[in-house]
Amino acid sequence: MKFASVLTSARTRWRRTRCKWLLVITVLCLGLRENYPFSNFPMYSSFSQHTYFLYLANVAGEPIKTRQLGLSSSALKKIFDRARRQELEHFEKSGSARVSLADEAAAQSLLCYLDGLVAAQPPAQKLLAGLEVRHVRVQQQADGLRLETRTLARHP
Amino acid sequence: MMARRSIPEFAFYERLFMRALFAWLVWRATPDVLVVNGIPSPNGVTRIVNLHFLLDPQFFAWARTALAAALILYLLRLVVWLALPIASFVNLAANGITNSQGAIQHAAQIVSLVLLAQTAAHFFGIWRRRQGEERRLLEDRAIWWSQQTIVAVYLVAGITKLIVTQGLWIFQARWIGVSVAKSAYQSYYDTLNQADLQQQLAVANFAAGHGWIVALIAATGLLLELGSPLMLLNRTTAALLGCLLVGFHLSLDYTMRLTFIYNQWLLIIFMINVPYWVVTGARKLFVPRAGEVTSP
Repeated sequence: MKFASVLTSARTRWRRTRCKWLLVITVLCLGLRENYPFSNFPMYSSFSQHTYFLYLANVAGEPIKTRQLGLSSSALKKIFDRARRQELEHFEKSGSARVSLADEAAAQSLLCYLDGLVAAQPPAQKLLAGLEVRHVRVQQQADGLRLETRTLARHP
Repeated sequence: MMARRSIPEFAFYERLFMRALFAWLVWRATPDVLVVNGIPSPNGVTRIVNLHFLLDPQFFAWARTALAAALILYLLRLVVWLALPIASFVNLAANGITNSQGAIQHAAQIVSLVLLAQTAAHFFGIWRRRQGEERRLLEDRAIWWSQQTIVAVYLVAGITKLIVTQGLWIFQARWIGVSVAKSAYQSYYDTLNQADLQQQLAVANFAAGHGWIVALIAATGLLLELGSPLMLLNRTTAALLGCLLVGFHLSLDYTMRLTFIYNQWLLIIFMINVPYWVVTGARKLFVPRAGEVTSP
């Protein structure tokens, strides 16, 4: 009986609300998460004392413009992140070397992706020979921000 | 006391202004060409529909032409029942493919959501018209649902921050300097243009050294997101909060190079609604009130 009255009350409230679509789209976005065009908009939803970014360097060790390959540095990192998550599962039993192995394997996957991406762009293809994926860790310390760079993979 | 309308009423010039700018925005928010490596990581719409045919440049060029035609029809309010689904399909498919590369971008998402909302509102309106609803509500509902979609995007972003950090987002925000530095370097490595790098790194270092001031500013942003439903109260709150959110985006653009230009445009088009305030202001200034003497 009580449940029936709650249900009736909820139904009445639903009918009266002017913002039904707001509720529908909010529930869809939170429920479906990252499924284009829906999203729970997780960017900058949490912060930590350290993060990292990637950049690409040519055979001479000089950084190159990521946009030359047809994507942004942000997309580069997201593609790497996705591969890294898979590799972390793959190297689950590798003990203390797990993270560095996953990083290196993800960087190799990234280079394979770039190979496919530039296949239809002849001017960009020559950038790939000797291309390096560099990982920069950014850490907040008491005296300010500290950066540490290491090379994860090199294109043959 | 008068009952509140379930759907706000918009004048002809407001609707025209919104349609014209939104059509332009959909055009801008749909990629010109697809620079992708297949569909390696299907996401959203690409999980449901096989969109590989759009990877053929010639086919994609036809899709863009269909989109242009659909947007012109939408602007002129002709065969909207056909124009909106075509525009939605091309926009969702193209952006779905670019979001299926293993890297999800959130720039154009809000435009696709508003387009989807307008399509849903239109077909819901057609169904309601058969039940005797007024014709004018068809377009007013599309605008009203667009406004609710924009609000939902901000509300969801705010709720997610609270869920992910278990309510501690503001406390974590004192480490925002790390993210500002990351964004600064990512922008730099995009083009190797040093113009903004030093200024952004100065902001990052300031944030790293003044965490609690930054947390306070971040709290304002979170409050704006969670308070965004207030925009649906009336035109004044929509314009005021719309302006505050545009200001919020401009400050993010300055500090972190996070432009979110489509969010800004949608706020300007559907929330701030400049033509309404110009016309209302002009009427108050130039149209004499009843009983006022107009000539000597």
